[in-house]
Amino acid sequence: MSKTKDAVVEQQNEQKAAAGKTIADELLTKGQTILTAKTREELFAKFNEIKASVKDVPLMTGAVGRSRDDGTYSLQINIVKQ
Amino acid sequence: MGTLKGQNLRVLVHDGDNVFKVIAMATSCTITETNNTEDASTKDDVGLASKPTTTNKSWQVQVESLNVLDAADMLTAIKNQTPFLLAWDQTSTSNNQTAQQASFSRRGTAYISDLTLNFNDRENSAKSVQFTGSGSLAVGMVQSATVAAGSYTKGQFVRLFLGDDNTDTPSKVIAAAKTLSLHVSMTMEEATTKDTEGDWSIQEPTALNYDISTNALVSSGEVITSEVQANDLKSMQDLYEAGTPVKWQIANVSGDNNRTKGSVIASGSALLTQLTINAANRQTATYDAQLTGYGAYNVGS
Repeated sequence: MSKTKDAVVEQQNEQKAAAGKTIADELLTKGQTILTAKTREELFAKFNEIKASVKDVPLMTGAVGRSRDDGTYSLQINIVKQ
Repeated sequence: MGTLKGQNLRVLVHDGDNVFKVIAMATSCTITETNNTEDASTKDDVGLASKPTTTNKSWQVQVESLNVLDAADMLTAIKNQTPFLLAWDQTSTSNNQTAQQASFSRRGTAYISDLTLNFNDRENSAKSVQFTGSGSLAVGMVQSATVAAGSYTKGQFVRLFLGDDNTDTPSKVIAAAKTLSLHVSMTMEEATTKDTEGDWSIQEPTALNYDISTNALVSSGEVITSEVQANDLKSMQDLYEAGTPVKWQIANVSGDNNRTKGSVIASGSALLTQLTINAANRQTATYDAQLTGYGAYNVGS
């Protein structure tokens, strides 16, 4: 039972890492991306992960927005233009 | 034909994909086209009436919008004087976004000359953008694409943090804050010369200024569970009396009492230039603080 639970957690972590990589790739390619999450805290956690993964690339964010329709939080991230 | 409603006359911005898109979540727009004139009446003219002749033509576009997800982008654009290709046009009633290429539609190049971001407690945050045109207007004839539905930002989730001086990392919010406004203004100067063909005014940026305004209760009596400290009227009084710049950040927040810093939108140094204490009979005592930017601001941390 414990093994199955560990396997599920590992799979979720891998999916999370893959999604994070995709978002970071989009950011580096297009110079901009929009993160979404169900809570503000989750959104900031995702942002910190992106920040760590792109390391020395300076990033900027706007204000966090919340969808009128489903309550999803969004954060626009741009690479700082020098 | 019925009247044209304001939601179907919109300002569009050219994006990288060679189409124009409406400014998202706009609540109003005003387009001002001016024929600047000088009086050409002479001693040969009988009577008192003046006879104006055109010296040059200038234009400005003002847009108010509830979208502040792009706040950092806008702050960068005004600082870097990024040119925008703007258009205004009638838009379709089916989605309020598709350009109809109306006969009055026009397009031209403009720069952001004034930007105000408002983050007021419990209100939808908003931006007010003024674009100053540089050069001629052409007939619109733009192709448009739609923008996705926007997201709203309640003002209590964006806060001003101050440091104790110009070296200290900003870590203190303004206690019991009610309003927050960041206003950036780029002074534009006429740069048309005899070499400039046509009547259109060419504008050049000359100086960038910004100020931050906030209003807060002198005392609120709220229970604070957050460990994040705050400036109150006493510490703001100290900053005023010190008369030296202090580091600031405007950041997204969450957590206890909405005080935990999330991502930083903008930062810099500023001088507290005015502190106004308001105490009307039977009303809650408040104070207004205005900080004037010292040097350029930064976007992000």
